[in-house]
Amino acid sequence: MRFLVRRVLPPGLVAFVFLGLWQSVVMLFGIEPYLLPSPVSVVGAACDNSERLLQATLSTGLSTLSGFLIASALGVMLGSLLGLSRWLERGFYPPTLLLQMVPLVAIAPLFVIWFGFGFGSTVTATVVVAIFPVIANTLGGIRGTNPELRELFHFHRAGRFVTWWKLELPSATPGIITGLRVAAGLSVIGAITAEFVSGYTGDSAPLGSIIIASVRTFQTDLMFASVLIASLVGFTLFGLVNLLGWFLLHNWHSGERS
Amino acid sequence: MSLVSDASSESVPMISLSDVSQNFGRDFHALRDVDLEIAGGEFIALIGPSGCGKTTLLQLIAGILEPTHGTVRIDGGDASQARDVACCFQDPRLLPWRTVASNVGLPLELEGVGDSERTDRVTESLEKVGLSSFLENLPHTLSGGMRMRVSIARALVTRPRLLLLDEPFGALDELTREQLEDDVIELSEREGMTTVLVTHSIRQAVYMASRIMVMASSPGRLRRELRIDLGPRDSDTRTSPVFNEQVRLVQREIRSGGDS
Repeated sequence: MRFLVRRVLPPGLVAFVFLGLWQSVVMLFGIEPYLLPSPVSVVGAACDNSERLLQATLSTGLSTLSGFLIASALGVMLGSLLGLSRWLERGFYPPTLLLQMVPLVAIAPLFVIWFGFGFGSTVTATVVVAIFPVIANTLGGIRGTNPELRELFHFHRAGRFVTWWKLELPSATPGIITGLRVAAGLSVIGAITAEFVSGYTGDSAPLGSIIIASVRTFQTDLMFASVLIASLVGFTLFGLVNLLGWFLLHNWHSGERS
Repeated sequence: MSLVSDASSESVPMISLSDVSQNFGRDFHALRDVDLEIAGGEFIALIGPSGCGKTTLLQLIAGILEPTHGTVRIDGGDASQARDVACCFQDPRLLPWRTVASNVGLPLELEGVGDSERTDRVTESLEKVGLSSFLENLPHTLSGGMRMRVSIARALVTRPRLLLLDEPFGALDELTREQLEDDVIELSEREGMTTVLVTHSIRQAVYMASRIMVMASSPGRLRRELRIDLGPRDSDTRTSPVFNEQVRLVQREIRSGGDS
């Protein structure tokens, strides 16, 4: 009950007031639905297209989750490899950074050429955008390992791998979780962007394709509904990462103890 | 009053450093021409101004540093091969995500000692420091003194014959520190450990050690050796005139070194 009052009530209230204002503005000023649909018509569009949207959500959700998981695993591995030596870091960090700087929209068509329309290119695009924060935060966490604890492991003649597994990786966990939180949001962006480009509009079109298609046909309410669902996918992933973080860290890390 | 300045070796030395020099880079001489023999069971303190290379000397004995010149031998063998050496640092250095038991077991885990033997020895070691009922606690739930005890238990778990103390207990309040000093003296006597203490606290060195090596800096070297004989320590030792007199002598020795 306390949890409901403290955590659910404030954002719920804000959302309620916001939606109420939105609905009244649209009704009072008679705004055309193709410019700004009212919340009620957005919900209506979602219900009318429920089957198609459910299919799309599953498709986009699967791409997002796959891309996110691959980016997480690969990111932690690459970040750990860069953490092995300053030389590796100096050599490989700039190209990794480049990966982050290249505009995804510009290279997404390339992935379509390489991997075809659909799952393959979408997942690739997702991995490319989501991996950088994981690498950077893993590397940062490993570099931030307490030097005195390193000395302790050195004193006991721990090998390179054992030191990574028993000291560096746990030390880097708070950072890795932060990286995964950022990556969760980026994964949705990556998947939706790739789906824009592939522009597939059949029965099993993913959310990104529905968004593009509905904009072209001025079905703004359907577009809003799709965007909202895409955000929910990201939100769910973010929640899962938080749960993982709590599970791994609440015992010992001050940031997660409450 | 028994301050004797000549070296004497009662038995075969447990630790022997001969003609040891340590340079970092080309020009920095951390230690020069150090000769030192420490007998089995002896409690020795290394003291001196900061930058005199005391911690470097400890690292050489621990075998985690190879001397630039000269040899360091433990029991007649190479220091880097010596296994039964343990170290306590200034702060407890516990892994915050591991329980007390798991922290204490770490050295055994790294050595590849099996689960059941590890559990037994962790329990035994925590009993020695009076923490057997805190096995499953995480470090942040313990007080500073208890955390230090955990780190002592972690040092004892390998059943070391040589215990190295690197400015221990520096971060603790005075009462806790004195209690731990007594505990370590008792433990090292009971376990028959050879103990090397590096400290900048003259009172700690005089109270704990039977022999004090005064060091000088730039380059780091051993300047003088002092023998301390306080007899069995008790609660009055730290306030006794004998104790204070010896502290004063060591103080004078260190100051005169700083002038030269």
